[in-house]
Amino acid sequence: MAGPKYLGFDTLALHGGQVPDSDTGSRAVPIFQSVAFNFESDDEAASRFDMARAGYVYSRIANPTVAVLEERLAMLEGGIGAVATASGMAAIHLAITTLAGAGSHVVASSSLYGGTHNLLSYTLPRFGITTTFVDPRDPGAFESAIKDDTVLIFTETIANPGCEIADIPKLADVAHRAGLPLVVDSTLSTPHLLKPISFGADIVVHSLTKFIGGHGTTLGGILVDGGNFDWANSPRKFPTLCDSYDGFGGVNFSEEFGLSAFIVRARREGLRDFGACLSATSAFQLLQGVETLGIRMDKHSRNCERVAAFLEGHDSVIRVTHPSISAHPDHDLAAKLMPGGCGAVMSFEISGGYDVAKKFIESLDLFSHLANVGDAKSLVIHPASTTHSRMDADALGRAGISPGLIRLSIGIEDIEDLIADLSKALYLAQK
Amino acid sequence: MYLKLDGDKIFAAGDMKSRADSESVIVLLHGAGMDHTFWAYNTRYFLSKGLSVIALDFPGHGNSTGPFLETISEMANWVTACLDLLQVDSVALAGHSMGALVALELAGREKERVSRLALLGAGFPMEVSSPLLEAARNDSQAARDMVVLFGHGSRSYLGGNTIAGMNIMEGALRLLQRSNPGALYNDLNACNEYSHGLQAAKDVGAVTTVICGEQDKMTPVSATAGILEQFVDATLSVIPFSGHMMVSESPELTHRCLVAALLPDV
Repeated sequence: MAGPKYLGFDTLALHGGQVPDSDTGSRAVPIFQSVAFNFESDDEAASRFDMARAGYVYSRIANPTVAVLEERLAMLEGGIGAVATASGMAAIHLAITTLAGAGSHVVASSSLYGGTHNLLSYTLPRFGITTTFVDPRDPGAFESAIKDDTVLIFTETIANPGCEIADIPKLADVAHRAGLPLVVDSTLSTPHLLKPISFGADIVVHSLTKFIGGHGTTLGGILVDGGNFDWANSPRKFPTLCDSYDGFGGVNFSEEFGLSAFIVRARREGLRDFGACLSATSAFQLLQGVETLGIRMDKHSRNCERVAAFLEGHDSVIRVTHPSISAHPDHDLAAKLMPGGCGAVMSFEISGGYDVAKKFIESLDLFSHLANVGDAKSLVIHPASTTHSRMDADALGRAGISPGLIRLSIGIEDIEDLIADLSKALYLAQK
Repeated sequence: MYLKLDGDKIFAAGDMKSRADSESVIVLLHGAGMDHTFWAYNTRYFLSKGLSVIALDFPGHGNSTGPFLETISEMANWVTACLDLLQVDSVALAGHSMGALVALELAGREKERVSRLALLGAGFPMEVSSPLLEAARNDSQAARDMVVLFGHGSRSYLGGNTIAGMNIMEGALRLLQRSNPGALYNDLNACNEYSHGLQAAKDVGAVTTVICGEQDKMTPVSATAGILEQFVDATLSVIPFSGHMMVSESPELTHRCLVAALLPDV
């Protein structure tokens, strides 16, 4: 008989984090829609408050339904632990503020989701946290931008809408040589296509709202700790983890919890005080998506490759941006990091600029015109006038967002129907 | 807190500030390739009760420096030296796996000093398979995988931990990956070569509790039977569904057993 083995991705996507409920036999994850949880005794109450015994206290800090989602995602990513949040933006905020305070500095890719760009460019500076943006394809630029007060490097595994692929091994090397963690937003790749921790990333964030939830019904985010980063090697750089914390009875997270210091502090300070927790009902709904993540992502990826190939050969299309296209600058890197497919968000520039782009979008029937990606249904939007409209012309130029650029999120419909819809809209737009 | 012993820096999580002279100090000893963080919740619990507790990092493990100690006997000597340094006269002693063998050896030697004894994931002999020892000797990832895969009960493969959001198998793997090169082999070899267990158990005077995981494949419940009958006063507590890593696999049940073992009046 062969020895025991780690369970596979699809098995964990269905079962991870859940022991079927012993009282009821419920096969589905129960929704524990309770704000607080009973204590057996004073001893148990005090101990749970003090992180001295396992168990639940109050659903802003931890909830049994949410915990299934957290543990499942930690398992799928190969992390040691996870904290779920009310949205993907809340997860990014929690990741940064667990490490950074006034005077801290971040080095980040210049090609980021518009919401993240807003957070780093406009909001966090009000609290004394500044960011230097660099070319996502230039690891040397990340290295050059590191300053004494830099606390982390941030990038997206697949940027949007330019589909720049982060060279995680090289960026991890840059970060680790400087004693910094690499934080990656892996929303568009999902753990089915890419496990950033296995390539050297230290912390992974997701908007669960997108492919992981997959049905466009529920907002959520998650922060996964790889558990590889030794915070104690740079105690002065990471005082939130390496100094005693008066806000929790003088705990020194690094000393007491070692490799899980980051994720423990994120929950015990960040969720407690910022309060952007995920609800039990949302966690349940997101878990329905996680169960089919693998088979959905396979079809998303295959459909997207077919759509990209179709658009690349169309006369009305100036350029197509998706790593499956051989001319894409990150085609080889994507094949190395994501051999199973490089996601289903792509963009293309339509001939004729903004007016034609608008007409194209309004001529689509199957594609839904809305500000989201990662739904099982196909989606479309015009980035320059919507998701990235807060960026100035220079920033739009650096991110490759032209007036004629259209972003598509390819769903899992029949591919023939999607191509027919695109073909018709391209014809009508140029008419 | 940090201690200096023979020129080496020794780390002990916990605190002894509140200790009354007559009170036992709770001493927690980690297993092969691990460190004090294995006991993080337990350490916090005992501290929260106003008790003195120290979770030691063996030399070359966790935050402690110094060369590895190659035998269980040397490790017991070292714990004795730490207790002498701290002027501790009475201890309630708990160890997990390798730490359990050290605790057993120490309790057998120092009847007067050890008032209570808890052995978690303990069996005797604690034989280590040749493939695991060989893989550990080569410091290979296969050795760490074997410890994680054989060290957890089947239910833990699916998770369901009561400490929210934690993936305990990956956590155990990271702890082993973070250990100093050679630490796992040194420790497993020390367990494999330890032969004084039955006599040590006969010599133990402390009230003893053996805490075992129902699905422990490394030190199965059946492996505790031989040693259990050697103690003057010992009981067996079996943690349902748990494997060898019961402290993380079933934290609440293990906590209750540990408290009952070390603090009979609570």
